[in-house]
Amino acid sequence: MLGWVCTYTPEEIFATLGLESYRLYGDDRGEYAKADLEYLPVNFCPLGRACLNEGMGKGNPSLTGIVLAASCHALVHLAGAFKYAGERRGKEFFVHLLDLPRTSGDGDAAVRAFASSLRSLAGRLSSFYGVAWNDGAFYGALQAHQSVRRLLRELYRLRMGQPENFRAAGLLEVVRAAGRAKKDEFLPVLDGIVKALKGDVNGESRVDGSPAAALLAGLRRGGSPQGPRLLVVGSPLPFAYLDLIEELGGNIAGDDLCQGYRYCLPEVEEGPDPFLSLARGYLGRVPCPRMLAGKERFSYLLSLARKAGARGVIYHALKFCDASLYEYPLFREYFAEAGIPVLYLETEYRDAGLEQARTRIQAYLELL
Amino acid sequence: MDLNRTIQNLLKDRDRWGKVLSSPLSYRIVEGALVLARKSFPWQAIYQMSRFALNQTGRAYTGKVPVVWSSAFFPVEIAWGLQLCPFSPEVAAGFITGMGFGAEALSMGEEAGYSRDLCSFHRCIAGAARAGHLPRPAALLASTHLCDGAPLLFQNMAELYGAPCFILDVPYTAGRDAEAYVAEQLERLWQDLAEATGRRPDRASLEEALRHSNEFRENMLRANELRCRVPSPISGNDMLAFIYLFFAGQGSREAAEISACLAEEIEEKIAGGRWGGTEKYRLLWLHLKPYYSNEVMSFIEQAGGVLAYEEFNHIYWPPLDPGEPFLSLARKVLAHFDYKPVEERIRVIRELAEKYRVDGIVHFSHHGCRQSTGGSLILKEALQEAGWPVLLLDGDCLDGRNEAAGGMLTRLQAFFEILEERKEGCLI
Ligand code: SF4
Ligand code: SF4
Repeated sequence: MLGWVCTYTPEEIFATLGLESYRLYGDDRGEYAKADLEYLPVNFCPLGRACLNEGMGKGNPSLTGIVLAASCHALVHLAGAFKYAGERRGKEFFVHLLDLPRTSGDGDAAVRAFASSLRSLAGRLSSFYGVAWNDGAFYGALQAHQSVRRLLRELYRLRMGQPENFRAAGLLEVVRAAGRAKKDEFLPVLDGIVKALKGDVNGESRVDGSPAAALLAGLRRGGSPQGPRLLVVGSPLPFAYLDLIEELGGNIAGDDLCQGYRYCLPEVEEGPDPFLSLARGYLGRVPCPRMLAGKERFSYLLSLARKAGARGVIYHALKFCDASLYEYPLFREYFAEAGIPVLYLETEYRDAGLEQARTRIQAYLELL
Repeated sequence: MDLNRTIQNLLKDRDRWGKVLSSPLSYRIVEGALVLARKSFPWQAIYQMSRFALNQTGRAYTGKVPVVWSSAFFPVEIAWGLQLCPFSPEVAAGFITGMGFGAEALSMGEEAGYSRDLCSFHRCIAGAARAGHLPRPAALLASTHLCDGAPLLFQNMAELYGAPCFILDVPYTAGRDAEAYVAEQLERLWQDLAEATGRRPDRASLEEALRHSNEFRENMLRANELRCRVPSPISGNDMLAFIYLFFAGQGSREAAEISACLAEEIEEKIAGGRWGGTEKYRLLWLHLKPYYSNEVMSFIEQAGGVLAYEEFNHIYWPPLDPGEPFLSLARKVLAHFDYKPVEERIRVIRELAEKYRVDGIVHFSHHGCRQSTGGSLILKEALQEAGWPVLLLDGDCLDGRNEAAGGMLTRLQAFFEILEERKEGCLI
């Protein structure tokens, strides 16, 4: 089982090679060894620390390797920590840092560079796990991944129509499940959820199968359409915060989170070179803050906010996440100029601080 | 000569520090004072470098020459090759802090929305820039290797000044593909920068910058070789002053000359037998040092510690080939041992620890630096396994506001005691 974290990691490669993969979220199930304390300093990305605990602790999953995008020093050092922690286990542990260009350079050169880095990932995986690349398998995997992403976007569209009926954390749960499942097995589950939700709209709700039913139950909420619509942006955040925002009357109509909508965005077109196609598709998505796209990204987010009818934006930064922390000052100005006030939340990827946040969120929602 | 005091006298009225800082006249006055005090400098190379830095900074504020901001690890030869005026905001942040105005600048940065968890160099820059105290750039140059924050900050600063920002995207994995990718960007960047600043992209001038850079490299290598002597012929604290040349000077004639002067002075000192002193603990120093106060460095000195060598002064790159400027600069950038899996940093540090015969290694864990601090626990464990005592000294280079400096001194004291015990153990 291969672990991965950043949404610039094309899962299609794992699926083509027949390798099972698992997206790490750093879930705290209380059963993990505190591996992070040994390998990572305290002033380090809390998501990274949590992922190390998840991947190396005694709980699920049992990873045999990890693929991390070299997108920030948190992930770079996380790779080092996995390597050391993996060696301690005694078995050979696969660690790969995936070079990820910044798209702000020459688009074409960046696509070529990323394609070559994807090719070398596939090569290393093939030789480590003794599996072979097959173009036919790739096109099959690609279709399944594309279908999952399209259905997820469909879910997001439905939510944008009536956010008061959706629980934002429930939607992120669906995305999370997608990032951990075999796509061909997950497709019917997802399809069932979308159909059921559409059925809801038309008054004919029905869904079979327990995974779909559980996810569906987590998605539903009966909020008031009068509550202000919001967009949530920034680093991955604890679900409890989303529930709190909704409890206080906010309606989350859209997000730009890599644990959410960003995962659903890549649009990969079939072409003669699988790696070039993947590189183009993944890099072609709206850039994340790490990509240094500045205003280009802000104007996309503003249009997303407008489309979602958002009266406010919640910006979440994880402590020690440079990508978000540097983006925030300009982001705040940009949205203030556009007449959309921003609420800044900072967390350590834990529910701690929820009570202090309650008052701030309440005051903010009243202001809107 | 106390340069700080001279400048602080100029800035008696604390509220005016920004105005004084950004006036070219201040630099001329301080330079004048410097010339008068020339003889009191322990090293003429430091005197020359201070003049060079003041002169350059003064020039940057005149507005008569296109100023380009260059991030700490950007190959600044590109700017010298276009006869531009490079300005290192990270060094400026150190300078502002050294003058005693760090807290003001940091608060301004925080007011502008920069979190206290970010590197204080960058918060200080953001604050001083917003207050209008830094020279206006015609363009900004940042590379993505080593520091995640620099390109992000520079992008914001480009927005603030309405100037173009050129980002050099450096892959993590070195190799032929990476070299070609970086070289291609550098060539285009050189041309775009020339256009943005109204300069003619002249290859001969770029080649000359590379030759100067090579001279700097060779001179620093020479100085570094001489530093293997025990006791150390020059203090590491003095050596950390040359950071300006590393960040902003490579490619200039001056950096070549100053580094030559440094190597000669050390040679002369050794030849004259005029050095010595007690060295109880030889240390290898990783990352930078606190600039807001001298307390830590003085404490080390008083305890008989000496910085025998510093990671920042290490010359890690091969000579440049002026005939292949872009490719060889790409190789230089990709050669950095800290931009590789942590084992590479461990390997280099082990080599240096052996070469400089140190008793212990101190990693100054600057609060906001993900690159250096992120791998420090693994680094410590590996180096300790290899037999070196290691101290991870948590602190901040510029932000002394929350610093329990006393805590740092206590930890250093305890570390020295460990070193002492080891020495006694060896004697028995
Ligand atoms: S949350 Fe921020 S620091 Fe952490 S892995 Fe993501 S981009 Fe890097
Ligand atoms: S100290 Fe670290 S984070 Fe700060 S500027 Fe230097 S490399 Fe960047």
